[in-house]
Amino acid sequence: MTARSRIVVFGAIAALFAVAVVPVLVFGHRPDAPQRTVIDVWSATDRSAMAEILAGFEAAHPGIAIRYTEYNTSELREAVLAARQKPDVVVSSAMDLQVELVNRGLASPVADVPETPEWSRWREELFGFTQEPVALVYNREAFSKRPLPSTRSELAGMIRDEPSFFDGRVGTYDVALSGVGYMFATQDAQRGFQAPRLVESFGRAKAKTYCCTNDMVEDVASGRLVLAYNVIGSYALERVRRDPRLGILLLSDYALVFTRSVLVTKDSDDKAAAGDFVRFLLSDAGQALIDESSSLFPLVASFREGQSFFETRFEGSTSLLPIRLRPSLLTWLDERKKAKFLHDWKASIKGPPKDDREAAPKKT
Amino acid sequence: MSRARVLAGTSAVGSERRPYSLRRRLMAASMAAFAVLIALLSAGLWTYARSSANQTYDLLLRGAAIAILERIAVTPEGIDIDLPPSALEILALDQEDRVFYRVVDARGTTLTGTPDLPTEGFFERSLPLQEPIFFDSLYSGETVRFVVNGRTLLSADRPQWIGVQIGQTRIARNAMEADLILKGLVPLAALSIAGVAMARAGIGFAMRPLAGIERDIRERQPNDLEPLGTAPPREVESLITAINGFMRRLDVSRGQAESFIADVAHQMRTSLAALYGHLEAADRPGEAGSRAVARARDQARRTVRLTNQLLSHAMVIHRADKEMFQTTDLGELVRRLMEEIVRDDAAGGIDFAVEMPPPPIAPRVTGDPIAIREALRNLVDNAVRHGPPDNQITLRVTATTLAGRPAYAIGVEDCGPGIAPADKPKVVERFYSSGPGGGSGVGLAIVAAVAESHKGRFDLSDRQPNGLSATITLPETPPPGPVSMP
Repeated sequence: MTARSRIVVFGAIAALFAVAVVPVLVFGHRPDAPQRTVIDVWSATDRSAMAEILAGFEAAHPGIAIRYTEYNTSELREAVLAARQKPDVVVSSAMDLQVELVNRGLASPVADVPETPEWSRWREELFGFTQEPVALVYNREAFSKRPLPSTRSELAGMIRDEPSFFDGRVGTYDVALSGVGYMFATQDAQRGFQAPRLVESFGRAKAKTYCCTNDMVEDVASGRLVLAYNVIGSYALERVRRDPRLGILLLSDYALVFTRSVLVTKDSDDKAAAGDFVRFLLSDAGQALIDESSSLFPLVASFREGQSFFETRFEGSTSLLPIRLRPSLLTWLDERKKAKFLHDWKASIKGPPKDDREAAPKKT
Repeated sequence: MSRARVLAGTSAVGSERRPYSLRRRLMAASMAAFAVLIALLSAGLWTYARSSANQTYDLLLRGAAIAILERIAVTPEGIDIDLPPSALEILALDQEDRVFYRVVDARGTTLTGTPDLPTEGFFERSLPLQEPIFFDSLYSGETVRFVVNGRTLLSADRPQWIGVQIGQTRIARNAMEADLILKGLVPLAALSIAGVAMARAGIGFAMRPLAGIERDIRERQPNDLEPLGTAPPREVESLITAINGFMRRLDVSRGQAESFIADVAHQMRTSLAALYGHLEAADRPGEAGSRAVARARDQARRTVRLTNQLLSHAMVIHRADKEMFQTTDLGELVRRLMEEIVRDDAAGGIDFAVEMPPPPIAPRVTGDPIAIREALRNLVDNAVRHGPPDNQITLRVTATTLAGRPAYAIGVEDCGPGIAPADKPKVVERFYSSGPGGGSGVGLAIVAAVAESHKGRFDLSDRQPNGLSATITLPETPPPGPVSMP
């Protein structure tokens, strides 16, 4: 995916207004005419999910315009590291990459940010502003006559017991392609002893791998997949609500919860305006906007409501495991560790070697 | 009169400069002591806080290094490094600190992690194997605490050192350090404030007896010279004793001064009444009148002499008060006196002699030369007046001892009638005059006063076959102690 740079509508209108009206009102150039501060926001979040929030911020801060640039998570990190002119604000769902940017000392502290859970902020430089569970999306018709898996162990067992039903009809992230997919897989590996077994069973079922949640949800809806494992709950839920063919489920052993996070760069030349954006995201108004007019889940509201916030939105009851915005995430960014993990994961997802496969049908 | 001036002098000196305050001195000293104490304790506290914060968090760094080293293994494909999540988890326990790590081989090649971590030259020293190296270094805009530890990998061909370097910013350490210092300093400061307050109260309590003494003295009537009644604390006991002694002497000398003035008044009145009587009689015609005139002249001369001597007496006493002592050459003094007497001598028939101690003895005393000269002058005058016209008067200076101290005796010997033994104690009293042609009765009193003010003595003895020896003995240096009032 290439970087698409877009100036937010409000900013463009303001610029047009300035160009068209100012010369009419005053003859000649007025250097001290009030100018709107423009802050650069580089983000790895669907533009559609952010549009209302950005508009809300510009309405609340008429003096500030946002120049919004969208990337995918891995590109975003490379772009920020390589950029000579750093953006003012970086927003990403890849918590590990955000922690890495902060750990490199690229972020600047922001003061007076509203209180949020301790795991969702680090060093007063990196702030999570959503709380989004990682979920399982399934095709309702496919599971109309069979029970849904309730745990990862059960899921692995089902795939093993009914290879014909699941064969080529299970989807998950391609962890080599997707930053968040890698983060979910590594967190699974770190937390659950079932993880290797589950990936191995995906391999046996010749699981399909995807770059993005939306593609997976699309294929589940069309019936090409019976289920997709580790999808971003917020994106998926939006589709699930509109599409009766889809169901969404939190497995009961645990559900990972990640947070989209925002930081102000050290090189930002307008830290005050950038800080205003961060404070807005976590203010009551900002959080209400996230809740009402975007597919994302607000952090503060879901934090206040606790478990029930998700139980009213997803099937299944579970214990939520937030991924902490802490340097321990850096472990999985280690080149050797990553290479080794990807190597093992690819070996598992490809399925067993040939002679193994020949042996497999005999079992069933 | 002279004493009154002395008292006025002391009080004048007292009011000139603002006196220092013992309370303030004690407070300043105790506060300075507390300040020094706190400074020392704070320095100690700071060192302690820094080392314990380092120790605590160094353990975490060390543990993380062990966790990483443990997961490094040699496989057929090469060195396998499986970074355990727990290693960075340990360092990220609810802290704001950033962490950096890398795995290096003996040549300093980074196998994984951040390659540009500072080495502070540890590769040049012996590489750590079991005992880790810790150092602080500036990295990524902050002071970072680094640990380096290593182990030997036993591979197929040869053993190989492999090391791990982990860095953690100092935020948690500094917070713990500040916390420890604060927790130490708060009680310390409270203790100091309490200490100063208690010192202040204690000083006030200790000073209270002094205030009592001060009030006792302040509230006295001017003529009340009774000793102080308060039982003084040990520290000022000698001061109180001295004050009481001083007051006692003041009392005695005031009594003496009163009687002196009464005596002087009586003498002057008697003398002037006699003169008046003679002058009344001088109106008579004939020989009786001229006899009365002669007697009046004689009486006037005696009154003048009496007046001079009284003034001389008062001066000698006044000088003794003023402590005008200096090194006085007795030989020189006696010679000059003798020259003066010979020049003034009306009789002309008297034979004067001076005997000095043989050289190298140089008779010198610490004393008031004018008072000594006055005393000798009186002795010589007495000798002249009471002796026959062909008198032989000898001034003799001899080295002697007085109460175990070196001293000089100055004797004036004559061939006069001497003093009857019963009269000897009386003649040194004022206005006691004996014999015909007796003087004012002040001369020997002056000599006695001078001897006393020099802590010396005055002796009268008879000579054989006749004559008087009057000897004033002066110590070379007066012994310490208050000069007694004559």
